Amino acid sequence: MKKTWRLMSLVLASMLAASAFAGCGETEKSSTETSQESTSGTTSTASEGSDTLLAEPLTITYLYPENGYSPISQDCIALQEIQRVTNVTLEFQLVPSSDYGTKKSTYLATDKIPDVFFGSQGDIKTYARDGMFLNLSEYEQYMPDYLALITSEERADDAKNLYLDGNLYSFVRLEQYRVGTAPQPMIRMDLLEKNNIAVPTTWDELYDVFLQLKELYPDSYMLSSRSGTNYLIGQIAYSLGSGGFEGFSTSEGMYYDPTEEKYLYGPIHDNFKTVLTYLHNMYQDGLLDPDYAVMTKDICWEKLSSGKLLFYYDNDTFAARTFNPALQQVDPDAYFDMLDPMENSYGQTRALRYQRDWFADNTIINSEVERAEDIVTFFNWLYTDEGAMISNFGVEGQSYTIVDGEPQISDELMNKHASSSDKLSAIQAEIGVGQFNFTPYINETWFKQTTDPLMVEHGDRIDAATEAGTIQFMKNSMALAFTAEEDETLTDLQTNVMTVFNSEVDKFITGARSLDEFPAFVEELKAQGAQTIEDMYNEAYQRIQ
Amino acid sequence: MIAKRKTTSDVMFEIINIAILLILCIIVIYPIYYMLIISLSDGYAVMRGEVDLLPVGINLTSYLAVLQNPDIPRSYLNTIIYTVVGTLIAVSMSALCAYPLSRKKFYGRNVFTFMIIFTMFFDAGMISNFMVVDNLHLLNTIWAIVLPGAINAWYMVIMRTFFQQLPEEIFESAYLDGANDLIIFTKIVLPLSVPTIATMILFYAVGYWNGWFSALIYLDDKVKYPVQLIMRNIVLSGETTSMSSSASSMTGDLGAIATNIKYAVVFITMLPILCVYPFVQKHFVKGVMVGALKG
Repeated sequence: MKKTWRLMSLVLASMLAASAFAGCGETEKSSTETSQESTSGTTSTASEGSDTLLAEPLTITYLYPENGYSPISQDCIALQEIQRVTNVTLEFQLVPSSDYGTKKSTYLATDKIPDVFFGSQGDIKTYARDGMFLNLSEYEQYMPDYLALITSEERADDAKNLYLDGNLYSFVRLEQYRVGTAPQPMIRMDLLEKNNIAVPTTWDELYDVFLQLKELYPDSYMLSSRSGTNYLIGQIAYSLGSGGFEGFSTSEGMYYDPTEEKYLYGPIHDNFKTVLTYLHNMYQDGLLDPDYAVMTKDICWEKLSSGKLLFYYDNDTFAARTFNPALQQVDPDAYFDMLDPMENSYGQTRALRYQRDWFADNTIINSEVERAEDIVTFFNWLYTDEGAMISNFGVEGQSYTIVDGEPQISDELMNKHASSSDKLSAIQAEIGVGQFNFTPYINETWFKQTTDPLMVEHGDRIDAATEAGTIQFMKNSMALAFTAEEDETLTDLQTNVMTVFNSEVDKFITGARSLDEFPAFVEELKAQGAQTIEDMYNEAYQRIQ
Repeated sequence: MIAKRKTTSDVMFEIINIAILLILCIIVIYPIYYMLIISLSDGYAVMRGEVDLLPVGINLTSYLAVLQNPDIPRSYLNTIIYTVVGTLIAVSMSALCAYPLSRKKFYGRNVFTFMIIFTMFFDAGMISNFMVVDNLHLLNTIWAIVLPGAINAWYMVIMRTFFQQLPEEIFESAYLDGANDLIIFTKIVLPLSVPTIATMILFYAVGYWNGWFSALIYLDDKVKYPVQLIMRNIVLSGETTSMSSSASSMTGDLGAIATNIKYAVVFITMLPILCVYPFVQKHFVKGVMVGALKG
């Protein structure tokens, strides 16, 4: 009996505690409601005679994914400075980035999206036609700086992909300055130096280097993949004279060929045989890791940082930031270094670098906001020099100082995060800036100050090769260029084609199927609709030109 | 008592038995041990694959990094609150639901049972659940976490079955003594069902402790997130950043050296519930032993 009473009193006490807790929740909810109300009311466009961007204070609720390694703080100095300068309070509704898609879909499906949210081109395509999002094309006079950027010469072509039925619905994340990054051929340069092996400049020379290294280090392999066969093909195919599966589109054989000035479905063209032959030879000669098709990223990383893989064709940044420090703990002389783009058997020297800007990162405004002009004015401001400085570097004198015309991280911050495994991310998280935060116009100048100089040197070389025309940008997504029916057809066709491709491609590499049968393989892919996919891409591309 | 002499076959049986149990123990314990040694090792040694049986380059930096994250202590507290409140409500509600359904004289109990069982096979789906919680104005409160799952149909059925096994004579004598159902429930049924209730507490508590999905869907405010949601984000962020289209960014390789941090987070979140098991297990075993009716 006593026990029962004790149990009941425990239940009651807990409920009391819980209701107090819930009470806190209610209070905070009401503060959110107030903030939502504050976005309604009269419009106060760019202030005249006022010190701030907007004369009336404005609170914008922003649904945003938060990265697990870089928590976003509402009290960071960047947000405070933005509020001081613009009179705008950004109130983040943070969702773990790992499950952001689920939360966003729930909100979109139940029409609970706050003032602004971080979305994809897929969201625009699915919901914009229903009038859920603010059509920015109707507010062009409030966004001159952003428009100037996306219509600039270097972006104009790609930016056509941002329009749905001729209308613009999002502010995409753009780059102001970026350390050049690209998937590039990276080799254990210390071993080349040690054994007096000449640095290869063509794919054929590279193969000879592989053979020499294999003879010297028979337990090591030369090449593998962190994400399966298609990813591996995507990394090397373009440079070898073919293409497809570039970046992370492992189910997508399409690529833009600058020589032919159109989209091609890589695997159905003759040059693709060169790629398969190269990989097949590597497999036969014991140069390609036999587990290449099933290797996980962790195992791939383990092999690269312990000398079991001597070459990789992937992000140049991995060398300076990941593999070299791991290698040098054991052998201080060991290091991966970048090879310049190599000449292929067709006499072309070419390679790809990641797309300019981040077209996948879109800031989309709810069409039901009442001070739309002000919100557009504010987001446009983030693309001005002033907005970019604050949203990338914080406050001068507090988080940075200007040295030789460039912002340098303050000594205080540098010392504070000196022992952090990722110094820059830690510093940016504290200030509230950078790509993990909401910064929409990215400036990566600080990498020069926080990372291995080798990475910046690689970046400069990639930029130089881009200037010289040996490295091209990957094409940005054409997601918005297709109609809903075309999308459906494409999905079906791609599934069919990839089923055949995935079941056969490893057979060619391992020798289970002879390369003489390549023409038959092409016919099999065409029978599943590979040629149709290529035609649809080129039609859509023509439409937006 | 005469001590029985062990035959060779008895000894053989014990050796084999112990060997099998040892292997099973290793299979269960090694992953947990592996997480511990990885979380204590140097990040680069982990990446080079040098950590198998003993930590390499022992340090506590990953634990410091985790504990310096302001979200972790706060979300930990949230998880404890959700688990305690949720479990109390869930066990009370399940028992209150199970009792009438276990009584044969309860009119229409088959209909009610069917209605509850029905939900085990057919779910309305995420969006409708969200709309219900939204229309009840529970969004972004603790109630959105603890109320929708207050009665798990399966656990309720287990409780009902247990209550049904209690001898009918006890109820009859209680009625003769003038007890009503409330008194029978609180003074007879509950005290006789301690093992089952302990088991239910364990099941519900583990469920609430590990739960992250309802928090993701129903909570908007980061300060109310449970630790599992924060942990999941840390564990998955390394993967997602390096695989997303933004991998072109320098930050794409952030996850590469963070394996030890991931495991430190997993270990920290796993530890408390791991410590609870041995204590509840006592009732758990007892429940199995006496469940077969004592009369």
